[in-house]
Amino acid sequence: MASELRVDTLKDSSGNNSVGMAYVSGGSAKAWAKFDDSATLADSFNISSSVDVQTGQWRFAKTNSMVDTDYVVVGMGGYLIGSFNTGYNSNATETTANHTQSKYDSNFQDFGSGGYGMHNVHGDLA
Amino acid sequence: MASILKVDDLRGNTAAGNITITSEGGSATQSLQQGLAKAWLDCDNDASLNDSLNIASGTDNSTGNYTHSFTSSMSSGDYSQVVTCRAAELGGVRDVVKVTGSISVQCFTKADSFTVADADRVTQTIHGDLA
Repeated sequence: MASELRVDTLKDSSGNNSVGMAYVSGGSAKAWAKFDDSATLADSFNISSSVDVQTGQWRFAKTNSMVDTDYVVVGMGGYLIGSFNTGYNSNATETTANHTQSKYDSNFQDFGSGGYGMHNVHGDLA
Repeated sequence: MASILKVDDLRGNTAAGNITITSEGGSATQSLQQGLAKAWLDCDNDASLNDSLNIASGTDNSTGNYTHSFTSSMSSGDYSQVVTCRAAELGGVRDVVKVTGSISVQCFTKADSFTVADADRVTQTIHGDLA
């Protein structure tokens, strides 16, 4: 049977290491993904679909949407030479059309076959 | 009235590895475990740790190349990590070995076609599934 516990603060049994539920909820990543150059997900959380838009641009839809568009996406490319995080941009098209409460773009130098991208999303869920 | 729960071990009732929390906006729920960072670190250019979570040790493999081992391993190599390096001329970073028990990163300088270089500091966060 499912149970629900309403609490404001968590502490260990000795009363130390206190953390408010606002930090537990607000500090948890709302989505994360590891994906290849064709947008195939190796593993993910709260991602409903992924699309290979064009070279160096991938689009992700979330299962649960954010409360607004002011959320944070941080990411990097991995493994292959040329896959640096310096060019990472969560909305390279510079339009709000691809950065909404329910979807966002990841853009950086194409990492090609064998490489992969990774990113995490922080902010408030709706 | 504010409430405080004192406990050392949180486990899901239906499944030990899944506790659901309600979203900030109140209309969605998500897994507490899935959203938590499983490891993070701040280290110097000899891989020595300034602060960390779930990191057992750090190794300075060579110039700009650092390996850190997890205390509790990940379930697979398909976790998501984000790394930044701090130095005056650094141009980028990549992960070179990414396995369940450890992760290695390499920092590059932008000075001449991305030569491997030491960073002053390296910071990482890792999200994914613990074993």
